[in-house]
Amino acid sequence: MAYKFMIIDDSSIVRGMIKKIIKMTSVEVAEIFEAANGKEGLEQLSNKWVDLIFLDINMPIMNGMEFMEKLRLDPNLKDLPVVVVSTEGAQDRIDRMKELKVKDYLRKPFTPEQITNVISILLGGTNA
Amino acid sequence: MPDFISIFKKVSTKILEDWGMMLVDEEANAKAMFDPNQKYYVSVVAFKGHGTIDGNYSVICQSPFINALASNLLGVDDPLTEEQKADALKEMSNVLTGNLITEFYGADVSFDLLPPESFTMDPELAFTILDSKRTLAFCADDTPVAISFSLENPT
Repeated sequence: MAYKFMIIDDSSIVRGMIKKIIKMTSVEVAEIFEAANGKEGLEQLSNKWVDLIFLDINMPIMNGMEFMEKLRLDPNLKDLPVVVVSTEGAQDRIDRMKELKVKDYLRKPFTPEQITNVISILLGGTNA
Repeated sequence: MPDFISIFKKVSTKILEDWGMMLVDEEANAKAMFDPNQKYYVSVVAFKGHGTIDGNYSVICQSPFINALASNLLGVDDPLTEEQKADALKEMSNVLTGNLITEFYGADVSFDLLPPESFTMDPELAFTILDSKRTLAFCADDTPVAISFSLENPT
């Protein structure tokens, strides 16, 4: 089975890094969509299905917290698995993200192994 | 203050090494490391601590550092655009700031980080910042980089 991913981060360099790591895993990749903020992500999700989302928190226009709140209220999208990848270390925000049922919370700087491990756990396959 | 500086050094070194994937040495004389004939670039991230402390951290560098950083992050084989290079510098300051404030103030204090801004800096202003006691200099992958801070207590 080939999986579809979405990376939501205002940094093109971070999107590029995560994209590269996803391609290094043993899971079959059908497509990797990119969005620069939560609003763009939601717009794309209105007509695209994805299997896993990597989400930053601090972004302009719509941040990761707002994105999660809207995603969980949408009957078509509420069960989508999301992994947060952020510099944010404040416990109250981490707790809020957990309440919003994110699957994992990775802090930057992340390692390629952290990304491959989370993909392996959530989608199966083995690490590259 | 010595504790603050030692934590500042430790976290800055760790982020340059872990995020930038660079070999890092601390340097004593920031100004002497930089090439006066090259442009100075700076990326700043301001943060607000809801009544505790506000401030910003900035990364000051020149083209060789940005090129090395962007190549490390995306891979040397990929052609790098100017936008990607600027973005690499902005993300470095973002990751650095997020980690520094957590290290200094703990996970129980929430901060709002403003989006990183990057721009070229007038050489005279760069010299002033590089001379400041609030600036630490490093040699990262044989390229000079300085990290500076400004803090204010709003209460």
